[in-house]
Amino acid sequence: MKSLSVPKDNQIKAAYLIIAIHTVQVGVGIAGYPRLVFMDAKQDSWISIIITGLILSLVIACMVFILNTYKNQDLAGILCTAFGNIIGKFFSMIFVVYFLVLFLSVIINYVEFVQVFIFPKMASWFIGLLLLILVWYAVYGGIRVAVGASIVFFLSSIWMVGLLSKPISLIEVRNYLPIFSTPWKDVLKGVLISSYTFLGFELLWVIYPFIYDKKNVAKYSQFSILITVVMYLFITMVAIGYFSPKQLEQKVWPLLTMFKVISFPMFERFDILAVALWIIVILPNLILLAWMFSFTCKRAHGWKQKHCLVGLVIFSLGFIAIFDDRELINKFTDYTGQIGLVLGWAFPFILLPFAIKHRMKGKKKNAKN
Amino acid sequence: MKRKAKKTSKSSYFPCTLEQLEKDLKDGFFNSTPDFSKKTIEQNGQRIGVFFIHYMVEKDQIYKFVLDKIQSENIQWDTKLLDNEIPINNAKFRTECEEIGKDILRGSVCIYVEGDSDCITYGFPNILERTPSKAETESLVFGPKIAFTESLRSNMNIIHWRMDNSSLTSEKFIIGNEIPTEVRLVYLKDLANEENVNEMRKRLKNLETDDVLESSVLTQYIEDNSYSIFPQMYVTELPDRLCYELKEGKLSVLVDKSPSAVIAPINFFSFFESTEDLYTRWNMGSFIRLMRLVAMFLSVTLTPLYVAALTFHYEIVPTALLVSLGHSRSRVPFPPLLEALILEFLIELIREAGARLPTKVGQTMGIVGGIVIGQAIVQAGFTSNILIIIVALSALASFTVPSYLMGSAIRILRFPLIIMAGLWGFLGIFFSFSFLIIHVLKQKSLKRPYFAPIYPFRPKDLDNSIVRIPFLKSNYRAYSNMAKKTKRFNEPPNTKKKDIEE
Repeated sequence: MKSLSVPKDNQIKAAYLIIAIHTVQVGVGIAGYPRLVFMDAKQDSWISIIITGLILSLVIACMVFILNTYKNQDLAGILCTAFGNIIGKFFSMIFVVYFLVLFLSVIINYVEFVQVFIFPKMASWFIGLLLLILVWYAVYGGIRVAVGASIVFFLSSIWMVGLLSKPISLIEVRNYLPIFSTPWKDVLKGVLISSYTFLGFELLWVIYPFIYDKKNVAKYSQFSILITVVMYLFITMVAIGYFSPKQLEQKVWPLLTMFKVISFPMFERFDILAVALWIIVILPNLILLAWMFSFTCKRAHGWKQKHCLVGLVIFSLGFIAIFDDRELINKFTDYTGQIGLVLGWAFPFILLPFAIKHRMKGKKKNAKN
Repeated sequence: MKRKAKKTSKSSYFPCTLEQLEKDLKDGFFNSTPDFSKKTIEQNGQRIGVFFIHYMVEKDQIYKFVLDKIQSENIQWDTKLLDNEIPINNAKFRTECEEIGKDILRGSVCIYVEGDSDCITYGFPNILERTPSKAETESLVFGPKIAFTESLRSNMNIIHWRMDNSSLTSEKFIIGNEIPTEVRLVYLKDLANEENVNEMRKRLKNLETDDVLESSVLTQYIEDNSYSIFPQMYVTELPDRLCYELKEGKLSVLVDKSPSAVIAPINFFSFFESTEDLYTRWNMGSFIRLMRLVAMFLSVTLTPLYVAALTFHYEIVPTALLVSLGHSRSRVPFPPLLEALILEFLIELIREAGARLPTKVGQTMGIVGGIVIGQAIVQAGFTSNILIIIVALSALASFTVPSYLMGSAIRILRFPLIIMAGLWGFLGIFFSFSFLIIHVLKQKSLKRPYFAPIYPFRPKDLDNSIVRIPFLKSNYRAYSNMAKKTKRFNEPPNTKKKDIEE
């Protein structure tokens, strides 16, 4: 497969990765994350999160190493170079399906939020349709618009973190105790359960050829991971302090529940607004995932990206219409996390030997020349 | 002119008699206009004809410089001699009837010595124009008041006197195949980005249309996306605004017969800037700019928020407010959506009527509409008090936008937003907002990003667009303008900060 040469107009600066990767990671997962990690790691959840962060940092480093080895290649290109055309295309197809699964898991989870908090009777497919229209419209503008949307949406939703000051003022320090009493096994379980929430960094695989200053990729993507880890750590810690342990285990979406206590003179119940506003948090997720899906699809098969996008929209719409059962959604999300464990977290290390081999070859060639 | 001279030998029309020429001009061009004047001078057995349309030319000058000259000197005239003797420049030698007709239509006078192989035309256009007056649509409290007029000549004059810079370049285009109009591309050669100039030049050159009515019509021909509601080029009637933007490295297009100029490329936030922000002190300027942005935001959100809250999300309204809301809404028989639409529509009506009516009646209409109908509509139980406050506030807020086009865009945007809010509550509002953000992100102005200092994110450009910092500190032009020189002036020498007592 040919390496990509992206016209300069379509290139983006590496600095945007800080926000792009962060926004594709933060989405529906974060609303329920504090509970999930607390169920396993208890008061030592912070250790789990930090360990997850460290592993993630390693994964990113590995990804950047591989990407730097195969210059100007995206995931499909690398797979084809490493495994040959047929197996490479097969693997890219697996990734395409994986992106699709991630996309679907985000969208059905959000539809569920809306149904639980605001409109219990609104049809799932309709909420999905609203989202898909936006996704289609944004991805149609190409990578610049997709990244732009993630930046603007990030800027217009990040202030919500500040609203946690109210729950912070109600924190019981007692809830943080005891520290260091969870067995190691449970802390590691917490790491495993975190894997779904942190997914999305796969964006780097696909976006890499579009980046203008490639030497900064490592720096900025690590920085972005740092922001994500800090944010998760912050929210989890606030949730653990705010809820009593038993309460936290019962709250499906602790973050949204925490918004319930926030009220303004003109605005009594912020959580309603927060759930509607969450559309801004998950849109970058959906837009970037849909872009990853359609672009990888195009690269692997040579289909038109437009057609892939339309296919995605129609398929998702059908999927949402059928799939609106809490149990099923939960299971689907769990499975997504498990697939992500392999394809997102472990895959870079599987690819690493090939990259090293490739690099050695390149060096030999250089030496011969 | 050289080319015209060469054509002389090929002339198929001349020589001819004066009567023939007159007949051909009248029939072919002026459809026997009664205003077509002809003067024949007979001298030394020669017949010389002078043709013009009497209200299109400066008649006094024709009498003084042409007729007087020909009659006072007793020589054998021919075209060359006329050119030498008559003390006016811009003589054009014409050999075809059609060319002569076109010249006369542009206020020229045509002189033909019977029997010659060509004829000569002089431009004496008599253009009636108003003197520059105060700006009407973009009025300022502070700073220069002069506004452009309908004449390209005086507009260029104003710009040239204002920009005393040798690199001020103006390129001429003639656009329109039915009614040709002169269009000028004006920029500072030292500053304006080459790619922008080429792009604009290309668009003007490739433009094919019958008539450019006005500069705001021209923008609709050459803008990037005709389907967007947002204007992508700034149309201004203020020379000081234009010159400021030129100095920042942007381009401008002036259209003859139009009292406004086009500025491009422009970004979304430029529509919320006014030159007044520059004339006031920096902190005031920043405050007012930010206030306008907030006003725009409120103007778009307030009414939809009301509709959404009262239709679906009663629980977000604080208890104290809920009581008075319920009280004032208890008499209203309509759902909030209909109530809001009626009132918004009323406000739009008052605005439109006020704009169409003559000034004196317009003011009365405003008072009648605003106070009398407003009062009556509440008492009749058509809408609630609080909605009147909200709608009036958002209408007021939308008028703070300096650009009329952007203000209108915002006012119109409210309607779909209200409907979305009435149908799907907060979800509808945030859907619309996300759609708008994506839409704005996709727009371009002259192929430059429209949402510039936010995305592509350039923190340094926030000065000059969203806020303002003291002039001595802001010695760089906005990077997103892509000016050739980004430095405005050298930094002032660093004055060392003193200790409290020294």
